[in-house]
Amino acid sequence: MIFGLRQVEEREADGEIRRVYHEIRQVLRINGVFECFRSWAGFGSFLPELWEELRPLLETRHFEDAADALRRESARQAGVIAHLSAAQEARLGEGELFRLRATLDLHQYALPKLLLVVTLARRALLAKPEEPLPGQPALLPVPPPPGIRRGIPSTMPPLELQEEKVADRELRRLFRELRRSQELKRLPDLYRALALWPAYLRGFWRQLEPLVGQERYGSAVGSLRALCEEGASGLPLHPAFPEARMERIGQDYEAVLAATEEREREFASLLLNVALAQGEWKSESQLGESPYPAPARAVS
Amino acid sequence: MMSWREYQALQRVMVLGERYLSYVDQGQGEAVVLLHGIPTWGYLWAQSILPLSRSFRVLVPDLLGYGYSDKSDRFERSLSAQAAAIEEWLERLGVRRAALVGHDVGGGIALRLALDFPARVSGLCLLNSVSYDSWPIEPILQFSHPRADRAISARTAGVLLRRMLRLGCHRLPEPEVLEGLVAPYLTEVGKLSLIRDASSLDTNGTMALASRLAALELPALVLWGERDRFQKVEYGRRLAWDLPHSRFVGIPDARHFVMLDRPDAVIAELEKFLTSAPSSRATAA
Repeated sequence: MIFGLRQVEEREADGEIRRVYHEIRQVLRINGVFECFRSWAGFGSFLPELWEELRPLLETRHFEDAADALRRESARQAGVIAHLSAAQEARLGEGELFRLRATLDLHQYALPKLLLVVTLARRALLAKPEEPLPGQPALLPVPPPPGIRRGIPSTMPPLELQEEKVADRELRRLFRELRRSQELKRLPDLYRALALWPAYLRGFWRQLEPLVGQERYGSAVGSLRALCEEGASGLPLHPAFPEARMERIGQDYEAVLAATEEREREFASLLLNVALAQGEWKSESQLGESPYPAPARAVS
Repeated sequence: MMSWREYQALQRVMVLGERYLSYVDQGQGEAVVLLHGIPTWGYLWAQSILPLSRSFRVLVPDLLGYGYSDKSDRFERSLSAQAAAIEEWLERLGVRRAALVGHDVGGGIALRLALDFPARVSGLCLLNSVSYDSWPIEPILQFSHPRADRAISARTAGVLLRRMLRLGCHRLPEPEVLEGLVAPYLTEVGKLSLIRDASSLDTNGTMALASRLAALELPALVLWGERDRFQKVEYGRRLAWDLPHSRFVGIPDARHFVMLDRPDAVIAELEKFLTSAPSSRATAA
């Protein structure tokens, strides 16, 4: 099976997948289940098993801090690359702009975490059973690392996505162009969300496309990935999901690994793109701040 | 007729606690609030706003959970909760008194608001409104099961909504109007919000008001598309009889979405009602 072709949408999720989707929302504090999880859910019991490995780490302060560091770096890199003006050009009304900003905040909060999650998943897939990663301690820290409070922030908007098979002909053409130019089988959630304002997405892509091929863009994405790798390796827990375990659950190890690596590349670019989009109204320091700071958990 | 995208660009937004409300604010003068029902949004009133805004300040909110207002899946959507949100929104806008014009569920909200916050309301106009035990209606009930989310995709919801809107009109609306009315509900989030809206519809919300109607000391106009299959004209006549200072006007050749079927007749009746001074409105009634 090719990753990305079979997804389990939230409304279709049942049983274990439904339970895990609920936990993903609560633990990651995100108002929706993003595409990497929906795609992993297409691999039978892989997602629930991977989730059990990752979850203890994802609700730690360390994980949240590593995501915050990625967000700050994306802000710094975006400031160097360009200042876009797609929202201004799209002449959005006050209400539209309010919702667009809230949507971008959601993605800006989610993407650093998602990039870390897929990096951790890739590292888990490559980990040798019962062995620490090179240079890392094998034992879990005691006592457990400090946690963050579960639950979706009360003002966070839901992850609202335009259907890919939309009736609007112009939007369909834009979707095709986005998929073709980025060699994507599916449109990332970010673009489907921005498609709720077609004039904005069109303008945003027109301004972004020439940047994507530039060396400084590539180097910014590389820098984000390197920081993510460093962040993942510095976390206090090192989940493992070796090939033998994948065989036990009857799923295609190579396909999952290849696809996870593909998401890693994609999310790094998307994180930079969100920062570029928000640079239109946020300063670098504002961009570097988490839109939804995570409170500490009273009892770990 | 403006497109729904043009209408959307007119919308402003107000944050109410942890929620936000989208609305249109056009014109100057005495405030008139136009409240839509289910399954529509403020765009339902698009043809009425321009003519009315020549004489009035026309305020058109998308109710919470509808259109482009907050569609998070975590707040109450009952008539009383909606009425309280509208009252808070008017307070924050600095509107001390307003005439309320409510259609369908919007009529139930207007009635609730007038009864709970009488000082805020200068007049009441109910168009093919929910009342007594007239609701929820069959086409909406298919959305009202809390787990309808699993059975109905966003695309199917679009098909059902278009069918319902056609059934609610005496003459077919322009395709662009139809598409605009369903537009906010064509995503999974929009559809789920509509399901939550439908789940919140409760006959008790209006039955609880029935015994209070006789005490409503407000001029009222009950305006009804006489061929309505969803909210039967008998309910309109009963409302007009129970409201002590009201007048009933039936509009022939119009169904539930009376402002789409007979926009000119609706605007003319609204202007007549709204331009009479509050005191003379009551006398005329």
